Amino acid sequence: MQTSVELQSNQELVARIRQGDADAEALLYEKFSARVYFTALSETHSKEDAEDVRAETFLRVIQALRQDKLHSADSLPAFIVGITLNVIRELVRQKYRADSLEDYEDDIARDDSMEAAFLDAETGRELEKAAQQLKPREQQLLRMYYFEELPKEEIARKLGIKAERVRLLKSRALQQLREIYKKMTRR
Amino acid sequence: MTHQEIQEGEIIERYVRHELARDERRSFQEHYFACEDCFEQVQTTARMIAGVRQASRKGLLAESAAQPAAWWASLFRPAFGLAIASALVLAVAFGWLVLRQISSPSQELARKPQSGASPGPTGTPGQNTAPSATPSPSPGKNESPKPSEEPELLAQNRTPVVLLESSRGTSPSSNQLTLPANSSSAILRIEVEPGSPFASFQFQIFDSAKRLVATATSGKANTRGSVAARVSAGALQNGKYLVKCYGVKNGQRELIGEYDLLVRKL
Repeated sequence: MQTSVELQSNQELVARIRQGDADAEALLYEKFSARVYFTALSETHSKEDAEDVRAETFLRVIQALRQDKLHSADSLPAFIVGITLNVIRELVRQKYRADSLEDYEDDIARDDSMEAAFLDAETGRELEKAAQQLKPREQQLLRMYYFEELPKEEIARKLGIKAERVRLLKSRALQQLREIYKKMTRR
Repeated sequence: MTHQEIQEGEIIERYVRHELARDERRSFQEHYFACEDCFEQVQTTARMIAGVRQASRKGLLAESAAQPAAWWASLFRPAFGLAIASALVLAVAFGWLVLRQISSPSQELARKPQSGASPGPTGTPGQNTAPSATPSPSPGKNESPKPSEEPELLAQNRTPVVLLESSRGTSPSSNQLTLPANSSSAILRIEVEPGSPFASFQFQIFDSAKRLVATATSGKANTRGSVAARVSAGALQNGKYLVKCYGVKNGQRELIGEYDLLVRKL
């Protein structure tokens, strides 16, 4: 949740941008650019598209703030999300209409390229090593859950456990992976 | 959306895996735009899941116990393999003899108008379009792009699409996917009965060594009965694949089709 300091700084930022303060525009970019990029990446799974979305979103946000179109600075985060999603929708429509994909807007981001989107080469290698250090059953579980995307009932049957346990064991295995990775990258 | 709701509802993971409804998704996005903790967590979770998928794809993670062999798995057993190979050799030899006899008169006829003859269409019927320049008037038909169209097509940044048609019991694969070098992903499409009861569909792609190399998930079929899912181009190399498509409903999977797929990377 937003803290009062953040609210204050959002209000301050918005006020300064309204007055044409270029430094405040840079600060706004610094504060939200990673979020806009991540949102676009998680919707499109394309780094190139995410960059385009980020650039276009900030153009529109800053223009709107300069023109005093934001009624309350408290809603700045939601305002930026709205513009980000509009830009993504427009991009998706432009890019995929020719392939008759307008019916699949919901599926645009359901692709199998999340590895390319969220991992750089080094992080990918480190995570592969970390995953191999998990116990064989943890590896099996994570593989079935996140890669093979099997239903919980099927995973439970293959591992000989109750279906209700799958979620818990999967969360623990993922947490374990996170810790191994953290230790590896701390060295 | 509160932190408690986020924790209890596994919102972060479901966000990364595109399992949230559109309004929940929007609500969580608005939350992490204002919340440092959740933004940190969602990025980490995305990386962890991507790492698991990458390691799985490369065969680095332990696999689950062997599943019951599929019908086509028996084809790879040595005894069956030998028998099939022998039968194929005989069939090819016989076919060649027959064709040789049939083609002789036509070759003779063809020799006469040789100078004015133009080469026939290239490509095998049944290749599916890769990136198509214009929406196909009959997307259900397999078509082969003319070679002369390719440079223009490749210049356009469109996602290659293959419409999968069941090939079980029929002759050679008609499902071909041509991947231009700059493609990051491709779209697999199948047609199901309109009003299909499945809540989602899952595609599993196996290479010729029967190794699972990629999965892709799609939501419900659209009103026309089309299902589409996106798969990473990086997971596919030149060669033959088997695609299994499952319908998922109430946590149960049902195999609805198996498709041969030939991938050609440019």
